[in-house]
Parts: sequence; C-alpha cells; structure tokens
Amino acid sequence: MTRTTRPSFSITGRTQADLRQGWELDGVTEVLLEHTDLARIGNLDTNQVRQSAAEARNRGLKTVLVWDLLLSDREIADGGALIRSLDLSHFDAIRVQDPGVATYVRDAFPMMERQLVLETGNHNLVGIRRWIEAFEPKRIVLSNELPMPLIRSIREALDANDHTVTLEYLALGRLLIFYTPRKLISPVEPETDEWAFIERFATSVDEGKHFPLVENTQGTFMFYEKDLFLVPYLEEIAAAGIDVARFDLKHFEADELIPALESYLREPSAEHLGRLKSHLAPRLTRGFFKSNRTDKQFVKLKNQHLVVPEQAQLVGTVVETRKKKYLALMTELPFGQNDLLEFIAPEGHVAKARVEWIRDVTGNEHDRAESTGLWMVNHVGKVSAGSRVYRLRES
Amino acid sequence: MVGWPLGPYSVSQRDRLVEYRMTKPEILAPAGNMFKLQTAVRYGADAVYLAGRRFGLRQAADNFTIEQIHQAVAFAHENGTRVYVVLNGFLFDEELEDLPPFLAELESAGVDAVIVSDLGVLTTVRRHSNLRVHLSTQASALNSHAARFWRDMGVTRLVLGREVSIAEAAIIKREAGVEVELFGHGAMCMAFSGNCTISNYTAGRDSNRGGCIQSCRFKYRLSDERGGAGPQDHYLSSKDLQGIAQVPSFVEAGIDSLKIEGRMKSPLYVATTVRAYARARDAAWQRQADFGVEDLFRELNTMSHRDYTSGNLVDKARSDSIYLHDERHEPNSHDVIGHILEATENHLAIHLRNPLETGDRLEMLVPGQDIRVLATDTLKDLTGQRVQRVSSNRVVLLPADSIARAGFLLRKPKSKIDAQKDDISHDTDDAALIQHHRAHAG
Repeated sequence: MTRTTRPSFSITGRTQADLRQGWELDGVTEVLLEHTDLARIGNLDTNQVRQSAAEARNRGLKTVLVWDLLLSDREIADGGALIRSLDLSHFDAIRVQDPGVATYVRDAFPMMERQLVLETGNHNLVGIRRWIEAFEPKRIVLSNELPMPLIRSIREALDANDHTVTLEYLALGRLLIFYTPRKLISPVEPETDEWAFIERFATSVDEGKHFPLVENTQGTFMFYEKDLFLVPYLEEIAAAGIDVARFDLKHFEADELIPALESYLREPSAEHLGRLKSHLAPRLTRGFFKSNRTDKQFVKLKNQHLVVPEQAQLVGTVVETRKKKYLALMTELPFGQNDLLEFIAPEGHVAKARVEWIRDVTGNEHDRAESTGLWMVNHVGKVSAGSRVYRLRES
Repeated sequence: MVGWPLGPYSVSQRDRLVEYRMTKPEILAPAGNMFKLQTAVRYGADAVYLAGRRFGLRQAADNFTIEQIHQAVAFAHENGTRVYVVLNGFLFDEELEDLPPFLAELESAGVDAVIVSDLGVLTTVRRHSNLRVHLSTQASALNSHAARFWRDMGVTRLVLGREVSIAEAAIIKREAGVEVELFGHGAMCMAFSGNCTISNYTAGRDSNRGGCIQSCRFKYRLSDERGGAGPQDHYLSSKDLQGIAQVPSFVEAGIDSLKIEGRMKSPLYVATTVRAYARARDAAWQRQADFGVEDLFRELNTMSHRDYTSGNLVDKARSDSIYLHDERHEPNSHDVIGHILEATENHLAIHLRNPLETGDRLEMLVPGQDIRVLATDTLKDLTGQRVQRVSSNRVVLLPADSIARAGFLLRKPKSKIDAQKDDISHDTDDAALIQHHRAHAG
C-alpha cells in the first residue's frame, strides 16, 4: 500500500465554533462529535451535535459520533435510546471503546460503521487482530504507548492479511492518564455544582507536577502535565502506516491554536513552530512515539538478592543468627551434614559454608535435617536474618 | 427466601434477585509468595491467585518460580484449594512469544485457571493450552454485553470491574451465562482498572505490566491555574473496600467468587481477611440470621488499612469513598507479632516480626475458630534460656499449645485498652448497613 506523506486529520473540539474553525484546516477529513451524555469529555448537546453533523456533511467531511464511555447495562440502554433520538443518518460512524458498547452497537446498529478505540493496553498484534475479527471496525485507534517501529510492524502484518482497517494515532492533544466514574473535585469544593464542567490543576505536592483535571457528569479525568505534540512528525507517522492523525483541540483556546496550527502545517518554519507551541502547555512530549521502555525499571522493584533464581535449590531462609553460636533456618528442602550451602543476605553478602552440625530446637543432634521446618546449624559469618540458603552442586 | 436478611437492594432489584440461584461463593485469596499461599489455604481460602515471575501486575511481589508453582499447586490441591495464575499484564508482542512455554508449565502443574486482561494474551492462551481462562478486573468488564463478548472469546469467568454492584453482577451472570467474581475486600484503584497510565508517563514504569507507583495515593494541591495555590489532600485516593456486611448478598445474588485484594499485603492480612470472609460466607450460606458482622468488623479493623467503604457493592461509590486522610484515624488496633514456625509437644517456636515481652497479650488466629490467647509468662530463646523480652527477627520459644499449628499467625493489641474493648469502633461508612443487618437479624 502506498503511503501519503502526511496522514489525514480527524479533529474534535469543545464548541461548535471550534469545530467550524478546525475543519477548515487543510487535510481534515473527519470530525468527531462528542455529546455530553455519550463522550467522556463531550460538550455538545443534542441540537449542537445534529447541527454540527449536518454542517460537516455539507462540507464533505466524515462525521463520527463518539461513544467512548465505559458503562453499565442501564447506561448502555440509556445511551442507545439517545443515539436513536439523534437520527443515525447524520453520522458515518460510531466510535466506541467499551467492548460491551461495541457489542451493543454491532447488534443494535449493524449498518453503522464502527470505529474501535484500542488506546488502553492492546499492545500486541495478536490481540489487535482479534479485535478486528470480532467487531470488523473500519478504524482502530491505537494506543499512544505504541512506538512507531511497532506500529509499522502492525501495519505491515495487517496489510499482509488484506485488512482494510484504517489506523489512527493521537498527534496533538492532552494525554488522558486517569479516568474514574467518581467525582473527585465537587465533593471537596462545596460551592461547585456536581453537574458542572469543572477544570482544575492537580499539583503533586512532592514532585511539583501540574496535571490538568476535569470533572463532568461522566466522572473525573486527569491528563499528563505535558501535552502530546507530534505535529512535526506527521510524515514519520504516515510512513509508519498511520492513516489518520487526531488533533484533539478541546482543551485549548482553539481560536488561537487553530490559526497557529494552520500556519505550521502550511509552512513548518521555526517561527510557526514556536507560535504553535506557545498555545500549548509549557512542556510538551512525544510520548512513546520513539520508544517504550517502561518495563526496564522492574528489576529495581524488589531486592534482587532475595529473588530466588528459577533453577536454584532453595533450602530455606535464615530466621535468626547468634554470632559464633548458630544460625536458625526455616527449611523447605532436606539437607545434611557436610552439605555445601550458599547464603545470600538481603544486603547482598554471599557466603559459602559446609554444614558442620545440625540440631533441632530441643538440642538433639542430627546427621540430616530430613523434614522441613526449624533447624539450627553452625554460625556462618556475614549471614544475617532473612538470608536465602541454597544448596550448591559440587563438581 | 422468607426471613433471610436480604442485601440492601432497591425493591425492584430485590424482586429480580429472587430469580437467581443462591451460590456459595468461593473465598479467593491473594498469594504473593509461598508462605502467604499456605496461610490462605490454612485459614480457609477456597482458591488462591498468584503470579509467576512475569506477565502479572505485581512486579514488586515475591511471586513464584515455576518450581514453586508446581509446589504451590500440589499443596493447595492436597488441601482442596484451587490455584489461579495471573497473566493480567498488557503485553507486547515479544512478551507474548515467551508465553507458550510458561503455559505448558502451568498446565503441567495443574493450575485451575489463568487470569488475563489482554485479548492477545487470551488468544495465545486459547491457542496454546487448554487452561480455563478468567477475565481480570483490569479489562473493566462492566456490563452483560461485554460479558457475552468475553464469553464468546473463551472466558469462563469474569472478574468484574470494581464499579459493578452485586445486583448488576447478578444480572450479568444471568444474561451472559458466565461465572462472576467480585472484589469483596482490599485496596481499590480510583480509576477504572486498566485505564490508568499515570506511572507510565510520570515514572517510566508501566502500571499495566506491574510497575504502578500508586500515584493516586499521593497528595495533590488543587487550583484553578497551573501551579496555583490551593488546598492539599489525597484527592485521587480511594478508601479501601470492605464488604463484610454484603456477604449475604453475594450468596443470595449467586456471585461465584468473593475476591480479596492484596498480593503485596502481609500474611496476617491474608489470615485475617480469609478467616473473616469465610466465616461470614459460611454463616450466610447456612442462612444464619446473625453471622456476627460486628465481630467481623472488629476483626478487619485489627489490621492496618485506609478507611473502609463498601465501594460500589451496593450503590455507586459516592464522595465519601474518597480517602481524604483523617489524622485522627487509628489505622489498626493490633500489631503483627509473627507466626508459628514449629509446634511440638514441648514448645511453640515463633518467628517474631515485632518485639514480645513476658505478660503481653498474644492472640493466635485459629482457622474457623475464635481467637485464642497464648500464655506469655515463660519466654525462652533458642538456647533454652529464659528471657523477658525478645526483639524482632528472633525466634522465641513458648510453652506448647494443643490447638497451635505451624503457620498460625499471631498478633497483639496495640494498647491494653484495645485488648479489653468490648464495643466496636469501626471506622466505616457501613454503619447504616450494620443497622440494616441488625434490623433483619431478629
């Protein structure tokens, strides 16, 4: 499949005016319509959605109704009723994320084109293929945790299997990092209306990071402190196989941002880039566009000295030491006198020693500690309580 | 159903519930390591969940080697307990490639099910094994449509999202024809599970592959503008779920499994929660009008915890489910002392996690029975010498006890007042539920 130099653009905005301004941008082919009762952060009422859809259609744009909430059965039924009242002929597609909502839409509105949001998890081709088979979406919205090399391989694999699904990736907007149905702002600000659209910043006291926070009728949403800004990389995004780049403009002053974006898209100069950035958060991010190494720190999460290797023969754990007198071991495997044991302390000290004597707790001497349980052996220097004890194979 | 204390459902929900078949829910306990697994089994868990070294969500837990999984399954099955292995990370392709050999080991060990959240993992498990598959709460299955989808993908049980009530879970079970599992106790994500990536972006650690830094527990300052002044509190932090008063509703609604959160929690937590919930479940199953909910509240307050909430079990979680720290809150009435390493005719050998002195009130948690107080008049060290006080990380010898067994957990009240307290002082928002229970118990 031949790739164009830039992907096409899908836009969303907070108001009808924002949408009208946004769809004037060169390259916009699609508008996302976010109803207050259907979208996570929707701001359009029923009439505004209908009007915007009609206007967008007249301009030759694709109209997509966003229903990306995670919902209970009752809420799905309510949402379905609302969608019927909107008149589906206004829309070219419905965008969903909850697999239950996707199932409902597939069954209740089988003729509607589906767009499936796979932004939460879904980092492997096996799963993505299965989602496509199950729901036959025309579009999948990929996670921004997927780096471009991986997207390229996903695109190639889908092409090789004649999948015609289009791929979308957020290129400009806030990164949603937390979504709860609970209201977290209005309860602590009694003067606010719990049904209002509330915007705040949550600053982490220890780290001083400023996270945008939104509460509305659907719950509370927190965004990363840095705005995602991939506009300078649109050619790379297209080359990786992304068909549609999304500009989520609803958190910005669109009447200032959109002209700056238009200028940059028309002429990507440093001046236009600077002007565009000035309308975004003070700090910007590429997210995981280049790479994702978020598993590399896992080795630091626990004391590696106490991690039992897969093939090791763990005899037990030291539960008490008495200098120059004894070690008390709680054992999981039998051991015997003259066995060579290795002790790895929580602090990392490693000691090797032979078992010189074995006693039970009442002081009786034994040649072997056959049953698992509490045993005492000769003291070994630098071994502390909590040390792991392994049996060493002797050559 | 006449006379049985119905759960706190609305009338319409209650009417529907009589259609459901009562079920004795399994008590499903966390097993962060072998000792915790043994503890869970000992104290009455019907099933445990654990993780191998990879593919799960608790990279900081000890977790199990393949050899240990074999041992764990053998031990659990000998005692009639099922073992589920969590594979609930959102995996990348290269990690999926490593999964089939691990699945073969799990099948060989005889694990009873695996718990997945990622459709790619689910597909891989189905392709490469005959393992039963449960859907993790990380997938946020919240409705019967999703349940049917996952059922059609091969899932036999759904661990429903924590946003689902007991009544909703019963409907999902009926509509989709799958087993349902609900969290009954433990810490809760404030966000929809699987929908939080704070750690990914702020700390470079994938929260959905085991690296969560629990940013929702941090203190934040709220303000109208970026960096502005404002009040500080733990706005994103959820109280802990505590559903002991709702256990009869679990039974009545036909919930298949009551899950206890906490693979990172202590053995004492495992013992206390399993013992309490198993007692409540057994009483509810036997339709005992009064299952001692007040005693069980008190038991659950012996452990360190955030303030309790019933979460979404009854109704949607409200503003009082946010854990805005109350400095006056007493987090736990008891301290862990340790566990019994060895119980013989001559002595009890106890591994101490906290100091013990002669005369201390030492409480032993006995599976299925009341708390038993052990004599501490005579403490000896491992050389047989009498001692007045023994510090932590030591072994102390006590006189033999006929009930005591290796592995039993021990605790002591933090104050003598707590030791003598008769009245409950539960810090929960479930007071109304206790009243409700009392009203129906007669």
